[in-house]
Amino acid sequence: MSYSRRAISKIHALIAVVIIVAIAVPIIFFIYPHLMPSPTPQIQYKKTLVIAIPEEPEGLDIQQVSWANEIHDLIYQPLVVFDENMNMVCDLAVSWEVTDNGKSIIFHLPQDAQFSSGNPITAQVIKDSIERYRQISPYAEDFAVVSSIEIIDDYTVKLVCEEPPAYLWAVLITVYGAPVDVVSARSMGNEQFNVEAIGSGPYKLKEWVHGSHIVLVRNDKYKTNLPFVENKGPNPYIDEVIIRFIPEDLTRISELEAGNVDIVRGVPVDAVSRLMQNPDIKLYYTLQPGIDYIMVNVRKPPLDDVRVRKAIALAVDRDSLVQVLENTSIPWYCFISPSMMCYNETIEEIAKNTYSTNIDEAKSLLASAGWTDTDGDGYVDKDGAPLELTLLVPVDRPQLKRVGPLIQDQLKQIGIKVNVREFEYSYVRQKTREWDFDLALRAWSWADPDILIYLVHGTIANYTYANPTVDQLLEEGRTVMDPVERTKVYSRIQSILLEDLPMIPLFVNKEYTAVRKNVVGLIVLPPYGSIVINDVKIIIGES
Amino acid sequence: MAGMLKYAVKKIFLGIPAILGVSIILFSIMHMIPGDPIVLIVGERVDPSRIEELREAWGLNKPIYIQYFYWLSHFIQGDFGTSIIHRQPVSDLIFSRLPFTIELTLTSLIIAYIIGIPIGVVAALKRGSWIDYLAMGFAIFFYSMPGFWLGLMLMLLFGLYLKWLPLSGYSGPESLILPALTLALPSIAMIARLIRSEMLEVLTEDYVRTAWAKGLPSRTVIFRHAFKNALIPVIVMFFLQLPWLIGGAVVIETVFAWPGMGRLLYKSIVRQDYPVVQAIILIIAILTVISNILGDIVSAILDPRIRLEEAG
Amino acid sequence: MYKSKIGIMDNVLLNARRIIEGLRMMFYYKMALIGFFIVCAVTIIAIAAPLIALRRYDETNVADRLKPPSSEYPFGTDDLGRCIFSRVIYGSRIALMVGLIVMLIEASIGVVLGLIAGYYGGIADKVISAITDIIWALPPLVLALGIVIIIGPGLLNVVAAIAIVSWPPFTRITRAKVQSLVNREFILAARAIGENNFNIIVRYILPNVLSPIIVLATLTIPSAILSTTALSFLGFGAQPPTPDWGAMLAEGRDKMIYAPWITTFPGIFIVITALGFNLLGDGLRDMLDPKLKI
Repeated sequence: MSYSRRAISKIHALIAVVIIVAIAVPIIFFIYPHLMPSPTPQIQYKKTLVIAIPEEPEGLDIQQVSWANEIHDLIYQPLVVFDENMNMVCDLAVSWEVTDNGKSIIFHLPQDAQFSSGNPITAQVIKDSIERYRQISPYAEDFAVVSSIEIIDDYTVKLVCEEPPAYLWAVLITVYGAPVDVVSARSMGNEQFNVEAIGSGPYKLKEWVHGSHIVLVRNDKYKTNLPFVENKGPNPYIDEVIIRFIPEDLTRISELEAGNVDIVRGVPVDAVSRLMQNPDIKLYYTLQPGIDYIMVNVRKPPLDDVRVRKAIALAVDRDSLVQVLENTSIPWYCFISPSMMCYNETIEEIAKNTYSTNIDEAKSLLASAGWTDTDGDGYVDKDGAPLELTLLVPVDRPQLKRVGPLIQDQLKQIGIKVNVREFEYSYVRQKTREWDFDLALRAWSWADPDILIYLVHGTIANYTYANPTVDQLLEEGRTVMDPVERTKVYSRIQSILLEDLPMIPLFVNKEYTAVRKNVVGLIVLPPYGSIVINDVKIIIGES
Repeated sequence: MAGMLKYAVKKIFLGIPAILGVSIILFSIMHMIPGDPIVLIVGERVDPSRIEELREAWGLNKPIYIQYFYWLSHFIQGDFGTSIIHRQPVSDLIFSRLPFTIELTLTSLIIAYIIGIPIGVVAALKRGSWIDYLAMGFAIFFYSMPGFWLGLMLMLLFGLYLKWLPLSGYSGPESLILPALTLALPSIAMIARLIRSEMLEVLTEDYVRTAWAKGLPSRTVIFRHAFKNALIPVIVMFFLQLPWLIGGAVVIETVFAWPGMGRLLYKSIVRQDYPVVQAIILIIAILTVISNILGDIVSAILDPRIRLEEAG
Repeated sequence: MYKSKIGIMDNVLLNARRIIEGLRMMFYYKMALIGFFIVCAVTIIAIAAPLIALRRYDETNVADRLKPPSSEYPFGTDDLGRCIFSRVIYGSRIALMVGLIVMLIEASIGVVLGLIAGYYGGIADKVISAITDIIWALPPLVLALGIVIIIGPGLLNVVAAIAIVSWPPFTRITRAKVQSLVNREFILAARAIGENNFNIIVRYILPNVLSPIIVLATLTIPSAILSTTALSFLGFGAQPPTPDWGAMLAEGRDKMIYAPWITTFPGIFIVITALGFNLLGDGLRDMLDPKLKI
């Protein structure tokens, strides 16, 4: 019996092998053709640009989405933008002027401008477009200051405001302020327009494969007044732009290194030093227009005591945080970063001198607030209760996620016990809105300091912090048109915030764009790192 | 055959309450999550009054049961609603991705069967030998590995270093190989295990012993008698695993940027896009019920005893 | 084989004999033996973690970050300069805890429901089977994710979420096994002598359904560990600085190319531990209940 069984198994082991081979061989033959490099014709330029981004956009209609990305940058064209030195220059508009004591902005449009659909861009279109934004965008309030939009002639439009709209420029220079083809939007309906949006940017939608990629093709009707690009019309060297959605960081970077992708956005911290050493790759960066910071619940004891807040600010070693972030960030001590408007170097100097790491001072501040380690467990206590705080950490902000445990360990050194709780960023924000937190790691990206009104204003923001002087200054800051005067206002606000510390600044990130060396002519614009590909060529052969 | 039809119809009717139950549980869970999608998606510079307006526009301030019945009545009519985040019809979002997920899942199951069955058979025939240990050990090894780690290593090896296969995304059938393999490798152990224990069981049954005793050629005994009967539960397992794998594809789809439903589902849960989550989970639940029914029917066809049992 | 009246001690003895027999047989099942040794080793590491570890698992040291394995740091350091060796050693506690708690919760829910459904039948059976079917029709990982989002992240919440969504196999197997027992002579006899239902379930039925439950319980531990890993990958795992293997693996994955030690060691420990429990579970199945389909 056992003998015959063994004989059987031998035969059938053989059969099993045959089955495996029978399956493997076709698979190998199937793959083999793909392994052979297809003969590349000796052309000089690759005409398709492939960009990898982490997440698929919510939609394409800039007036319906809650965040903009590279696709919107290519489909839409703002009236004006910032150049590399943060000076305002024309894009779609021919020129602009500010009148009525700063209360009105007049835009002059080119006479032949068209959307990619062929519909003309007139003053009426600009007006309709802004009105549509005010109806449907989650950020409708962006244009709240505009009281009426006057059409002076077909190619001249005037935004009349109740007060000088200093902060409106911050919207106008982004794609959020770009005109959309309202006529097409009306006939398509908003849902459809969100899938097939039409703007006047250099590229237009060809195909959207959900979950995978978007294909854009050159918009032959495109024209720009950007002074810093050579090519003021359609780029003849790039026919198509493919934007791929690759959520996993390691996968996205590997695709770039393998040469399947030309440009990667959202370069993970860990990849930066590695990519810098790669001779095939070059890196561009822009400084985050904003800061990463610890938001503090100033109404909850013991954090209502400013000495405790100052102790925390002094205990955080920002240089270590930045080191852990592979030096892809800059330690930061004040509230306005260099790529924001109204940045004041002096304030940063003062803040740095005040809040550079000083463990002894932090400890004595805590002691003066009544917190000392009486039971010798390493944590300070008061009335028998240890100083224990919860730190909310957003998992989807890589920099903040990484430094969470380090801040925890640093605060341990001055005897504060910190419990880290990780959530998606949106939950962290929600918890802070509900005042249900001690400390929370947060960040913003917005070039205008008016963003502070949504964070520290007593009634508009309605976070835990409220200071009437700050509220008044924030409201004043909205209306001051002169940059120097405006900077003074925000400097005062910063000085007060540095005393009150409702937020503890940590660092400013460098936001990297990784590009293969053979992609030439790329421009990455501050403050948001928008990419301008008007002059891009991708060199592949030497015919 | 009429009996079979009646049997199938009965099974389908039994599945409907389960699907309804799934949708109610899910709707409750989604609404138990604190907050709502409007607050979650908008950026920093938004006015609180605008949030209220949007919430009202989406009907999110109505009582849950009204929202549920509103949603259900539309779902039954084939209207899946509009995604709160994407502001596009949910059906467009899902049906463009569903084929990719099904393609990935089916392929990986087929790979798992092609590798798993021979391993299980050989292991059973060589029970206790080093081949048995090696085969089962190999299968269980992959079964014990975190899916995303396996996926990333395969991707780095075959995609980045050897450059044999595309790293990620969908650029033709060859890009299916790595994600399907990653999904398949852990399933191999399950299939090999199952067929091995089935074979061992069948090989000790009287009719197989009799066949052997009669001196039938071993090939005949193993394939006509043992293997064929051992295969029945394994085939049934095929249908049972299908929906389960679709759910498990979330991680693999993220690693390989595969344009399936997994990533959409994950993002929609995190951002509380109720209409999308509801629709996807219900589709998975419906697929599960259908697969269960198919599994039952297949086993009923292959093994008439089951039908009699159910009837009695 | 079954006496008409079996006292609880007899059952215990019977099971004890079976286990001794099982241990003896294990030597014939080399795979199960390997699994058994692995499980023992991991348990010892977990118990003796403070003795084995070189440092605190949450001690950061930015100056020594991303150091490859050396005599000072046997497994190297991670991006915050934490000793991976110490973290991995302490991590064995987390992994075993996760596995055991999930297993206990699942087994308690599943077995109780299975006993009720199988023993009483009728409406109870219909309702329980329906609930089981509903839970089973939902993809477990997705459902667990939803629950974690509701109750907040954290290791215990993750454990609870995994357990809540994956107990149905216990119910199904227990129910089927009980159904095959309820009409057997020894149960009928117990009823005839006036034993109440609770006693019958606990003293007569439970001991006889234990073997598949033990097998399933053993196999549940590795799958719980792997599920936590998947949740960590999606960003909803243990909270830092908990040295959870899955979280270490998920957090270190971006550095797989140039600092592979960060992921390699926790990865190896996950695989070995899961492998150990899987081999043990498979071996137990072969020994206790070879026809069990899990």
